[in-house]
Amino acid sequence: MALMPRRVKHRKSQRGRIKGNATRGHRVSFGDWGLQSTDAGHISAQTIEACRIAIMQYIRGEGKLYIRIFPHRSVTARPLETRMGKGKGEPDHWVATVKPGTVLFEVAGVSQEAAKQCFARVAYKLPVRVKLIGRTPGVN
Amino acid sequence: MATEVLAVERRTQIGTSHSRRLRLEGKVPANLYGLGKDPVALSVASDVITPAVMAGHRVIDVEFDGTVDKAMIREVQWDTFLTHILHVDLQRIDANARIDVDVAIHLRGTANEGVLDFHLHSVELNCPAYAVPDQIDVRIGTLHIGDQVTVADLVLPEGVTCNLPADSVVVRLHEAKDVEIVQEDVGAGVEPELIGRAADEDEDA
Repeated sequence: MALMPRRVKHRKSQRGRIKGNATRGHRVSFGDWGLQSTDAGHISAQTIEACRIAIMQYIRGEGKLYIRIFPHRSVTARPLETRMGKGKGEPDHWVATVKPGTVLFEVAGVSQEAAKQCFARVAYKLPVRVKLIGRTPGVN
Repeated sequence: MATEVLAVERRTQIGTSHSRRLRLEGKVPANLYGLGKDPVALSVASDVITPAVMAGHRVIDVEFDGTVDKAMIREVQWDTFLTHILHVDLQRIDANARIDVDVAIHLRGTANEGVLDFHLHSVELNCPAYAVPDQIDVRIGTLHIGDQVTVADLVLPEGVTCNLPADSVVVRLHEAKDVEIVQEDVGAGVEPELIGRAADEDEDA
């Protein structure tokens, strides 16, 4: 299944600015360990898929992976060797908008050390800095 | 089950900017309410409340203006990165009453085989206010594939009951599956359906 929305209201969107920290999706909600972004940025569908493969290759069938982000926004690009003008380019790929604090991936059923090694393989693929977090301590 | 005595100060100035200034001074704004008494705005030192919350304490003694109230930590607000506590809600409770409280489940040991499914990270307990456990320990070192720990198997302190059905699964150990890792198509060159476009085209026709 393609990693993009099934239906959209508009094909293209303006780029905008990513302001502030995440106020939703910034806690480990499903698994035991999470990979939290400390930067703002856009993560492409290809990168999310590459991270999924890297995590699954590490944990195999011994743990569970939760992907907490989805590429909702289209990014347009102009064809090569074309002059400027003639309107906005066509949708080229899809990205997920990430704010500082967003939890990108979660794993369950693995130890902290395994989660750390697993996410280390993923961290260098990502265009944002990340850190390993556990579940919220104390009262939720 | 240890009950901490929390020395707090009454807050005279309330509001966002005053709360922000308090946090810069290393204090955490808090509120105390309940038991038919007036709500009180408080501030508590961050290095006092943070260890208490991290340790899983749910019931604490709040000391201010020469009185000591028993209170339950009702809600804790953390910052985005889980490094600082922003605000704490404290609810006064009757020391002799039984209360319903969520208590975290901690796994002890490591599973020797299979994959561990941790379903319930906390359970709602009914217990006396003076005997709220900080956490419930579940030992998983002796589990084998196919074994599960249910709420009925939890070792609860005396006088403590669980409000969840006894057959609710806390932890289950199952066999690791061989998963085939296939790279999926990320949809390059494919465009999603446009909402409302099909209806417009029908009208034009």
